[in-house]
Amino acid sequence: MEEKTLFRRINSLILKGLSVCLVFAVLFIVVGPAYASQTAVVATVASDWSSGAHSVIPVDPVGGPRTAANNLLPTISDITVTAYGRYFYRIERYNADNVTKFDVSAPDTPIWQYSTLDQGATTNNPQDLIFVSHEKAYLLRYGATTAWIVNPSATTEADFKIGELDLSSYDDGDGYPEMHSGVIVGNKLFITLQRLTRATWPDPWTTNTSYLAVFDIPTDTEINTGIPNPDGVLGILLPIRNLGAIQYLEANGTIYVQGVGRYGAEYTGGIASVDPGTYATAMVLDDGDDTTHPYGNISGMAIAAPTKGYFIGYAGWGDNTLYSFDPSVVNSPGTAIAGLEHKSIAGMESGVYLDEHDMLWVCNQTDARVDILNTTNDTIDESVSTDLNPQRVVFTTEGSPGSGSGTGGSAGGCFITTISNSPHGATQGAVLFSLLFGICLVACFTWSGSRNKGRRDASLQSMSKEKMRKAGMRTTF
Amino acid sequence: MRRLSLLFLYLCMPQLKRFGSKIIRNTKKMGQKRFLLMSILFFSIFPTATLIAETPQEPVTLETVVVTAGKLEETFQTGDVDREQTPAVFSVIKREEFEAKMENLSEVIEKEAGIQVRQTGGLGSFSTVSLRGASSDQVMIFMDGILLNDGSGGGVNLSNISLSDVEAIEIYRGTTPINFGKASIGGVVNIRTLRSQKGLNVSASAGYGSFNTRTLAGFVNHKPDRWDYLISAGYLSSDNDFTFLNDNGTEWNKEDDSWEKRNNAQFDQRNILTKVGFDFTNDLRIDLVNQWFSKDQGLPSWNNNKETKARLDTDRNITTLRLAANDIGPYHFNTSTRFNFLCKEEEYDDRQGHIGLGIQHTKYITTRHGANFFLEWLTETNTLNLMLDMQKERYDPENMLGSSTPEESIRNMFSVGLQDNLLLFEGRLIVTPAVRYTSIDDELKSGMTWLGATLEGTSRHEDYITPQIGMRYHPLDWFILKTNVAKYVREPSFFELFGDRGFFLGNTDLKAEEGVNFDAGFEIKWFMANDLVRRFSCNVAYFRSDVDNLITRAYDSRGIGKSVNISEAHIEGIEAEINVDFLKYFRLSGNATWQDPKNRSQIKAFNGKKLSGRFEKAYFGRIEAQYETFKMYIEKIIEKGMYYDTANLLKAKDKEEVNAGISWLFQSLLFSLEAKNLGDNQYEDFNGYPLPGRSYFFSLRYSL
Repeated sequence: MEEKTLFRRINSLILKGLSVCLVFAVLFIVVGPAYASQTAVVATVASDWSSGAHSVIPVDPVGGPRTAANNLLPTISDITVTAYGRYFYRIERYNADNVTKFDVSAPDTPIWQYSTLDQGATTNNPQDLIFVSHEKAYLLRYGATTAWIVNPSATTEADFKIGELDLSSYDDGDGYPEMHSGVIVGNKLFITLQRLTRATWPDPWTTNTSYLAVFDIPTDTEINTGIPNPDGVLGILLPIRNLGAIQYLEANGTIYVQGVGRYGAEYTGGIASVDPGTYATAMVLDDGDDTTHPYGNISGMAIAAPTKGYFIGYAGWGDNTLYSFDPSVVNSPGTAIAGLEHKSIAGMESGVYLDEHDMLWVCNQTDARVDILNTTNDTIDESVSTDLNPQRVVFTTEGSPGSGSGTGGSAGGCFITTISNSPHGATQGAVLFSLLFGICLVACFTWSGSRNKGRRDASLQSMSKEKMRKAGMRTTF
Repeated sequence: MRRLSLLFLYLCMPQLKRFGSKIIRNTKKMGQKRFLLMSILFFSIFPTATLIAETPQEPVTLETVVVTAGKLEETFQTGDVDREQTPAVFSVIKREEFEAKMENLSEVIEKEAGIQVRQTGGLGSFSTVSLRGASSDQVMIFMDGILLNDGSGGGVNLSNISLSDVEAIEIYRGTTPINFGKASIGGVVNIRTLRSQKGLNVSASAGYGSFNTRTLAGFVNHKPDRWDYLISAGYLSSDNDFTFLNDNGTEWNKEDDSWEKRNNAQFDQRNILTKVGFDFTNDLRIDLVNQWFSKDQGLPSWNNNKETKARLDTDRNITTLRLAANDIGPYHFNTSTRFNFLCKEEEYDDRQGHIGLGIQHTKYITTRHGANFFLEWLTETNTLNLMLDMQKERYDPENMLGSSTPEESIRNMFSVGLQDNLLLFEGRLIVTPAVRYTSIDDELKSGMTWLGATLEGTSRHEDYITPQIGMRYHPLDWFILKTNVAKYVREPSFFELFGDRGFFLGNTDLKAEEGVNFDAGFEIKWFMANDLVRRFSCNVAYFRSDVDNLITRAYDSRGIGKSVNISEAHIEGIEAEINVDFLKYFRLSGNATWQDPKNRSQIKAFNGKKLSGRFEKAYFGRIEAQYETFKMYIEKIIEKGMYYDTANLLKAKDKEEVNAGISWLFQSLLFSLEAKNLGDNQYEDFNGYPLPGRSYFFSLRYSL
């Protein structure tokens, strides 16, 4: 009898505990952990290219006002930014060749700065940093035949470079394949290769067939995609030329790639889709031809959802327009976004300018500001001045901008931090925390219930005694 | 005996004049009249002294006379600016101040008030000049009245002007006398080359110094009778391998910094000046002049890469035929007519692609035919000047590597100017109104951009009228007041109008920059007959310049540039200069410039900021001591408050440079030893381009 009662009690406890945990888990997933808010980091440049800097802008609150910290750590003008976790990285490109790491909580205090130059070279023109983890990333270099494999947590310059990816097979005859951007899907790295022939200056640069090279991340070896191509390389031949942005949309498991062709001279660009599993490609948006090119050249792209995307039409110097379109419909007509027509619009090269609220951050260089677009109704939610012209926007996923000094270093010391560093770390952390909290709560209730039960039993005992006394029964047990 | 000495003096007068250069005191401001006076005094005293010595009298102590090497007389030709009448604020740097020194033009003129020079490296490297906060594009550089600025723009590279054949450097700030065919907002620097002098003049110099710097120069000038010739040649070279701290492009990482020698910064240059002249009469003269300059220069990369072999070779030749005819007709006109041909070829070779965007090997050829007529009419109450100037310039870039993509540009320019110096109150007050009319026709022939887009042929025509007025008031012998107001334009260059192969687009709608300049100031010159202070001079001027339609470069979202008129500049400041000769052996020279070069731009990030590349304060101080044939000096140059960029985010380190030198004159030989940048401080006039540290130079000059 007593064993049965105990088992029922334990069962009941477990059920209660799980219910509580479930409630809290749902709450946390919906609300989100307070420590994982995004911060936008914007690379900025003076309109005469005499200097550059970066700005940090909190993503919240939606609707504004968002306060920007501008002109942080001024430097040369040919810069870009990339971010991972609470850290962002400023890359100084042509004839500067370095990467600087910052913690978003101390956005003007470098944690480290390392050179990205090969011995004996004048410039390798680093373009982008694609992250696998805090300990591994790929540095793409426009003026080199190899991409570096780097450790972003290295504490000395000697430990920064840990390997190379060889892309020399994609050389178009001028010595370089012109690698530009990349994205990671699962265990694969996809790298865009522009392959512009720029051997003889000032003769016009010529476009060539453009490719995505695919690498296996665990082994850092190139994958033979098996896609037929005229150049005998292992990568994916694309139907567009002079590649720019690349983006992976998890919602439909599709990679999108944008190409510009040749500005004002050749309309061989547009937007193409790539299946990361089968490597099949398809045209999504064609920029037209020499006679008909309604948007000009396609100079940027961001895909918000399987049926909602944006691209920039470059009609001329300072005359760009942001259009919305449906990527699920081939050559879906673009709709100009009010307020973002006939402007100078930069960036959108990462393809991921969407923040956690699905707001699209647009670099408006005509007005030296970031226009934050609500993608649900394509209206500008807020415009934030960056003082200099915004060039590119990335988001840190943890921390908040502040004036304190960054801690930097390896992310391996703290359990929560390590968890948070993974793409789904925030959610996993929320569930675990909820579970623990729920168990604690149930334990509290049970303990207090037991005490109450004890008091209740005692009172019941008293009552029973009273009843029994009234009933004339014996009162001692 | 006294009568005999005076008779002797009278008979020797012509010889005295000819050989007077051998008996001269080495002072800065010695004019011809004073020299003659000294000679007369000397020869008057000498026979008298001898006479006295023959008779038993009290001993006479003669004043010390220092025998030095020869000095060239300053000559005046029709067409030269009459500095005694001009209201313009000007400086003149004479040859003896820089002859036989290891200095280039930049280092000489940067010590003047209101002048800023920026260099990209050591001796021979690209350098530009700014006057009173104006950009280098707004400063006109002339050589013997021939404009060196060309239509392609970018100002004049001062390192392409050798000092070995220069007689004087004239700097006119803010206001340009009508004598110059072209004027602009910043002012004018006129390089006057050596002119034929009577008799025989010979000079040779050699020098050696740090970074394997070597110089050789010499000239011979002979004018035996009506005809004359002058030949001057110079050679200057340096390895420029100075040591500097290379940060490897990582400003925040000191671990990878290293001290290195500058790579691929060597240069060598040669120049020859030949002049032949003939005096038909005292009033009619013809001159044929040829100036040849050639320089081969290495271009270092930003990270001092040892493998860099990029080069820029420059060849320039200017041929001039000049006819001066004075006292013509019933009105006694003085005239100067000049025809000139300029050819400049620059070959840029970067076949490794270490400097620019990709592999390049390009030749840029500029040819210009010019004609100039200057007329001067002197009366008792005024001096009327008329100037006519015509130029036809062709700019032709040539791709040495691949298929030719011609983008030839042509500029035809015609200017006429009229100026009157009104002499009032017995010449104490001179009012100088003037006006210029300039007509410019530009043409670009069709070509192709670097992306293969077609560039259509295009042309444009512009007319400008630029008036000016100045006043010079000389109420006291030692005090002069000056004030000027002038309007000038700076027309867009070929680069700004037509672009450059597509990385930079053209903009044929560009308006010329228009500036209104104003200045007011005074000059004091005191000469005192005491050993405490012998000479005191002081110049102070307030200046102001308002420039509209400032041409600024803007870049769009994909990094393609274009020139646009979206800014204005407002510059005002004060320049002051002082010179004091004191305690018999010492001279103190100094100047200070305070300026506020403000940018008024439509771009918010630039508006209200200081114009980039201009200092806010500059100081120069020099103390010189001379005892008999020894001279030594120490000087300090300070420049503060410069920003590299237009948004004023990148502040340049304040510049402080101490130089010192010593020289000894032994008969006709002058020995000089100089030390520059004694503090061994590292500076960058242009961001990322280090200048040399401490250096030493020795030179020797012989003059006959």
